[in-house]
Amino acid sequence: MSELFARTLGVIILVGILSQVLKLFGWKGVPVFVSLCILGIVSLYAEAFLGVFSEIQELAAVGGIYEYARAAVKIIAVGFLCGVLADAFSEMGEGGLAKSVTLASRLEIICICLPYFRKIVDTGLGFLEYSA
Amino acid sequence: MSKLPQKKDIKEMIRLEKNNSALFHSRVCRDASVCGLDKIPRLPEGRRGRMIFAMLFFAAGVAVLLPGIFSVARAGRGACYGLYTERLDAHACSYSLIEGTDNPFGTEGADFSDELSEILDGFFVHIGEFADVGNDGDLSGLASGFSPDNVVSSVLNLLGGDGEVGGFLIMLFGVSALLLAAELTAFNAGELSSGMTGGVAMVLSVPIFASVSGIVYSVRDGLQSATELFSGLIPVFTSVSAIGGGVATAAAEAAGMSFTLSAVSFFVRDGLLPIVMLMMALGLIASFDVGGSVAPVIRGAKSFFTLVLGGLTSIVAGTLALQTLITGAQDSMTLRGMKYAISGMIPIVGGSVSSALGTLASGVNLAKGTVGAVSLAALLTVLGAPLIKLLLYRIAFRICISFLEMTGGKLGAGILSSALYAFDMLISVFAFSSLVYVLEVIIFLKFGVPAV
Repeated sequence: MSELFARTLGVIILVGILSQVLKLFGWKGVPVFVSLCILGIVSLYAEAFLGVFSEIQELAAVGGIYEYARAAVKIIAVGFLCGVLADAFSEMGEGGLAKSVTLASRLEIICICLPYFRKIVDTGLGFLEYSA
Repeated sequence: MSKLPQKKDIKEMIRLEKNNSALFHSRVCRDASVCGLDKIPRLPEGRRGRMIFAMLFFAAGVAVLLPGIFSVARAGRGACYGLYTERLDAHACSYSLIEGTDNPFGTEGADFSDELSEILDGFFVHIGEFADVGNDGDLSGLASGFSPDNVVSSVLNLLGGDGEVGGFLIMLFGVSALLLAAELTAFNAGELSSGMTGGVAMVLSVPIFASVSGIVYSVRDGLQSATELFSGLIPVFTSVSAIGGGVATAAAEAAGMSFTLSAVSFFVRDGLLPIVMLMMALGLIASFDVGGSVAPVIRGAKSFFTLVLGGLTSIVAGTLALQTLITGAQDSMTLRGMKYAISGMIPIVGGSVSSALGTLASGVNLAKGTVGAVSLAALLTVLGAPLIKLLLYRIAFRICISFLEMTGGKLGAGILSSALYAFDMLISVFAFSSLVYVLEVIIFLKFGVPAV
């Protein structure tokens, strides 16, 4: 087990216990506290995430697909961060904000995919032209 | 209602038949004794039939052989290479069994060894365009291509980091890792998970299918080379068979090989490869098809592919079987007949000419062995390298699919599997074409020149 993983697990357990204790005391700001803690935990992993993705991008660069790998990493990052953010807003009871984040991230993913859609169509048409 | 014959009825019928037969034989024997034919020793019933059949066959063979041997030799060699045409015209397509001997058909004798050596020269020039063979028939380069060291080193070169397949494997690993990352992180992305994985799949399907399409085009070029090589070999095969007196063999080879070549070329170029490409396009769509609506179309294309390949296999197998049936037996019989005819018809030197026919067949058999073996080696050189490459690509696909399945990357495994399926079809098309060409050469080696 890595040190980072153990630390993160410990923080999650502490936050869980603390949020239950605060609920018992009737504090109304528990959801905000939990959401902030989730963002903190994610930021703990940010460095590890970046390391993993940079390694994958290096692998992809050797394989000659750096451009595609970069786009894929962007999509993953946008999807993951916006997903976590939307969950946090939902936890806080802000459904409208959560939906807005989801919509914005979907649009961003479409924007990233759009240039590749043209390539997909060209590749597919190339196959079909040959078979015609 | 009609009554079925009883056992006693059948016995009665057999008795009457025996009586009739005995009466017939007694009449024939009486008439034969009048004419003195009963002095001729009679063959047993079965052997007599076979003898009559053999004599008829012999007569037909001699009748066919005389014009046929000239026409097929002229057609075969005329079609072979343009450079022979002038010479054949100058010779008025003369043909002789042995060098410098006036043959019984009144044509001037041609130099047999020159004819054969010219065909072999042209053959080696043609083979040299596709494989490492010297014009003088130096096969060391061709032979070294099959040594285990060369095969292993070429496989290692392909698999190395800078090699074609090695680079493809690294690329595929990168793609697999990204697809897995997308799928694993999508658990935390809530509602966004499907859009995220779909987007990553869409982006990464482009390099996967672009690489595979490059391989498809290279395979198509490989098949084109093999077809060109084989189409150039057909006239050589038929010429060698015709020179050796294998009229039926040459005709069957020319017809069978031309038909097989045209059938395989047509079906592969206009039938199977387009289906493979269609499967590629469908696989590309299926890679980000969340609802699975493309799956029935893929199944339909798969069934159609199986149907076409099955039909083509039946046609080619039938042609090869017919070719095998026609060749050999008839030529052997006609040549034997010719040997005896020459022996009887030509005074004084007839026996020598007759025995020279055997020598001729042995000489042509040697040429046939050389032509067949070199053709086989050249075909394997042209077809072997792409086939090994295709199999290595397949292994690369399987490694990445296994990795994704082990780590729970269903989406990535699905995308790679759809690409692999089209790839498998491509391998089957290539292997089928290769097998047909190699089988044709083996048939030529087996039945090229009849024994006398």
